[in-house]
Amino acid sequence: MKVTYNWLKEYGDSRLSPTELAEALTGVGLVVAEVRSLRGDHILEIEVTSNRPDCLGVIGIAREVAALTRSALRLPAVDYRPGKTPIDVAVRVEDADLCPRYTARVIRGVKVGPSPSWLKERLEAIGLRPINNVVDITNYVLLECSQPLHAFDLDRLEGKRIEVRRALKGERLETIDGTKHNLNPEVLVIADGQRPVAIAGVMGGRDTEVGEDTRNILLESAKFKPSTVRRAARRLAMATDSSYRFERGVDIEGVDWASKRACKLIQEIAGGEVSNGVVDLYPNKFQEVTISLRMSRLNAVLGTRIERKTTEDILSRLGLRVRSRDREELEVTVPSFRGDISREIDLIEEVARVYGYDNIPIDTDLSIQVPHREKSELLEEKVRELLVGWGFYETITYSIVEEALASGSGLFSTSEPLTIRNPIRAGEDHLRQTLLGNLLRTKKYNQDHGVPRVKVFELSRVYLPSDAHKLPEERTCLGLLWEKEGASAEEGFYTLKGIIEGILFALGIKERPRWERCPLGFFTSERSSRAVLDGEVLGVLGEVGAEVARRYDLHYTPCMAEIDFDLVVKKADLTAIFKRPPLFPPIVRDMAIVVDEQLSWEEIRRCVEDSGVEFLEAVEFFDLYLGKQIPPGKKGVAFRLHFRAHDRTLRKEEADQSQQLILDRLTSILGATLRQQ
Amino acid sequence: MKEELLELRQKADKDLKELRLPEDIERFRVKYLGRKGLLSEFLSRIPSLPQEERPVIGRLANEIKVDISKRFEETTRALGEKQPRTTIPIQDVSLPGRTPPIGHRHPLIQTIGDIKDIFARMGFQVAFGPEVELEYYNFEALNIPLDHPSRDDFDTFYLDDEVLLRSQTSTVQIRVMQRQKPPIRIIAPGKVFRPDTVDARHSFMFHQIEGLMVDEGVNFAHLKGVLTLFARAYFGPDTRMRFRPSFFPFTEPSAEVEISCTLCKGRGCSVCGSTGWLEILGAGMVHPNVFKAVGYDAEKYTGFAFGMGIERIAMLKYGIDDIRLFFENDIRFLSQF
Repeated sequence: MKVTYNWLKEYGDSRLSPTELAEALTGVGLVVAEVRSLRGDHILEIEVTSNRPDCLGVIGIAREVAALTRSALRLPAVDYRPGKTPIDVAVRVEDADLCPRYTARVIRGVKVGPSPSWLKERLEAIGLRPINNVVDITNYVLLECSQPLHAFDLDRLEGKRIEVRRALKGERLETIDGTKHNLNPEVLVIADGQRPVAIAGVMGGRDTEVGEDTRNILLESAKFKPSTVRRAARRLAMATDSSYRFERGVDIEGVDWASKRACKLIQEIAGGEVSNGVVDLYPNKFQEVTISLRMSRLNAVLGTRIERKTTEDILSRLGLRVRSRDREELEVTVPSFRGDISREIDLIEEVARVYGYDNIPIDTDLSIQVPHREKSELLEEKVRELLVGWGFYETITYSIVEEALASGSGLFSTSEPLTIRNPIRAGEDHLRQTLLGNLLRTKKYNQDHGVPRVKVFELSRVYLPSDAHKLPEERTCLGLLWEKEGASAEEGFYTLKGIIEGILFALGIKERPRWERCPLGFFTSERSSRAVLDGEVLGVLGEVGAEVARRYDLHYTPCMAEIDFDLVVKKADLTAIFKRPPLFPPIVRDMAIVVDEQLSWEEIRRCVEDSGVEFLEAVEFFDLYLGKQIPPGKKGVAFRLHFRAHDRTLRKEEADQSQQLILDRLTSILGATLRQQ
Repeated sequence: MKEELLELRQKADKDLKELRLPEDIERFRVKYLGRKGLLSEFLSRIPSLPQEERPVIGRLANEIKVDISKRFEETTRALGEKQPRTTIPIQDVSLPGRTPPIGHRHPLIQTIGDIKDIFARMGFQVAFGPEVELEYYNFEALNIPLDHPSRDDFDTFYLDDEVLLRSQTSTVQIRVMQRQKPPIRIIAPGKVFRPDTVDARHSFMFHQIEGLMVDEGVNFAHLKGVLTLFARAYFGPDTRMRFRPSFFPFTEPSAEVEISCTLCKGRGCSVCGSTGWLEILGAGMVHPNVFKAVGYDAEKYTGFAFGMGIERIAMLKYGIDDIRLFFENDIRFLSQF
């Protein structure tokens, strides 16, 4: 809302300078975003919050200024001279709920022409284009008192009738901006005897607008139901100064005042005779609200010790009528222009903002409370620490992506990704089901900006449609991308696998995931794997496939993984119970065997661990060998065995015996042979 | 050959006994044990010996090498104990160190963490809520009715008529109050979404942190207290704070909160638009209609709520001038935090 300093001064006698005024208004919640000087005047750009439609007019702001500066408010004159001819138009309001008040006045014999320069300048200063004197006056009055008005060319109104009704299906109207609208019963219109001539509260029709040839006018001033105007404006994609004010609510008691004010100005500027009388359909008169305000409540909410006298003073200055019931309670009557005040808390706010927020004390006397930390939060922190320590950069990427990025990692691929109905960019409307698409995009971005290889992760949510609930399931995932100059795909694979296992270990997950080969579209089929933890899919891991790499235009194919972090949280256990470290030394033996190439380490390990051999404490892989000395179709596997007795130092012979048993078992079950050095 | 070897051992023994100074030690090592030392040279000659001599000489040469090495170590260790500085000095201490690669947290995550920590010390617990929300939680329950102009301030992405992407973290207030009775002190960080065209100041996805405190006797002065403590802890002890009236549908009275400019300390600069003040958050006393929506007795309980944009806070703290940088994830950007 723009006002000019000089205009504002016409309605009061405060002596504040433009800057002082700006400061004072900002201090009570009418934020002055900008003060600009213009041809001997100053333009104040005021941000009026949606609860204060009364301040969408200069008078409303002048009223605040008067209250703040304890100065008088001067309202402009509305004493037009009515003529002898009685008003001769018929008005019908179909539904008083949608149009609680409608007034019409008729002015005959006006001379339509350009406005005087003072009027033009004022409108231009506010950013409005002058049209002609009559239209300019309706706009001027709107800016003055925030009541929208509309002037119709009376001679173009069929049957000199006005009907306020819902549009009929199939009715059409071309508004003064030249847009043609198809109407429907959701839209409230002003119609004449035959057809719609205006969209109520939004914009008038082209055919009945006031132009050069107009002689006689019908001046409308009304109140329409805010939500009706809002819906129509949205539906027809029109936002006007008028709809803006009707949506927020105009002062029902001010409707006639604005009409009179406009008649006065029209008479002065465009001449003509105002017909005697007014059509004023106002079936349910405004009832003043009286609210009681308890001083104890006021001070309890604000944490203040504001006196009753101060409170009375503030409220009366704002134009509210205050009666003291007793020391504790005030009875406050609210005028019609403050539709935002309807309950005690609204009065408390009025007192607070004029009293000054800066005058409310600062109280830091709070009781002690010890919040507990969610397990998930704690674990997320821990994982971030680990990954950063391992050289990963954390990223945050958009949850809304184009279709190609939304799914496909193979971790969660249920149904079609969810989409947004009103995206800002066509195509960018999918809610992601994976983080990996975004991580690849991040990689590509860095590749294009001189960072050829990256290690990145994101710990964030993906959105999976749910059959059972209206809301989708939001799952937290950990996405990882690893690459290093000179590293083989194999190194990448095992590094990421190690990182995932390291995380599980650090979070106290005792179970080991089972890794299985699993061709997934996102990864090359040879280097693609899925981890299963206790029967549930924990994650996917692999080298990005050539096709995906091409799609993202990548120079290298990184290794990536995606982990179901909710499952990690479920399984994690950070409790620790002390176990005394062993008192006696272990005997460590290395063993190298030759087995079939197809045999996995997992199978070998299990064969060893399940042997039940005495004193075996741990088995650790350390080498895989495929080479000259190994026959084709076979491979060499080397591992280390730890033997230990808990009550004494283990003897060499005992370890020998256990080791032999293990070898026997490997030989008989897996067909392994001892590798000759 | 054998005689030569024994002679070499004798000489080495003699030299060992005379070792005193660090440079002697090094000279000895090079002379006998180095890659081009006497022993290596000797060993390299073994393959050219007659077949039958090789094993004997080889074994002897190895024994001698092991023996000399062992006694060399013993001697140097003994010397080391007498003279603490006998190790070879680092060639050039100014050569670069070898830092294992270290990553970085995202600056927004760091900012959220820092803010959470401060409020945690004041007894606020972290709470979360869904990002895809029912319209009820984003609007109705927060006293923002359908067809109300206050919705204009919350442009929102919709999935269908009832489901949307939350446009504010205030939704978490409702979810928490629905499942829990006062006293409540929570802080709720998270993503929010608004259909804004992306530019240096706007992003269709950003982060907010919401705070809520509800109990008997909580008042506006407490709101000022908590936020002032926060601002001083986060932006520095000299930070000044200013509250000015505003409007939010879910609080009343409502306030916009400003802090003295972090850059110019209030003198006025380009960051604060020469006002000396920076708007950082919106706050207010919880509106009775919000309490009504969650079934709280608004006469018995009062509370305050506040919300701030994480990106804005991080931009002020680190001097970042373009919000898009947070989501491009340029390593050269991320590595600065």
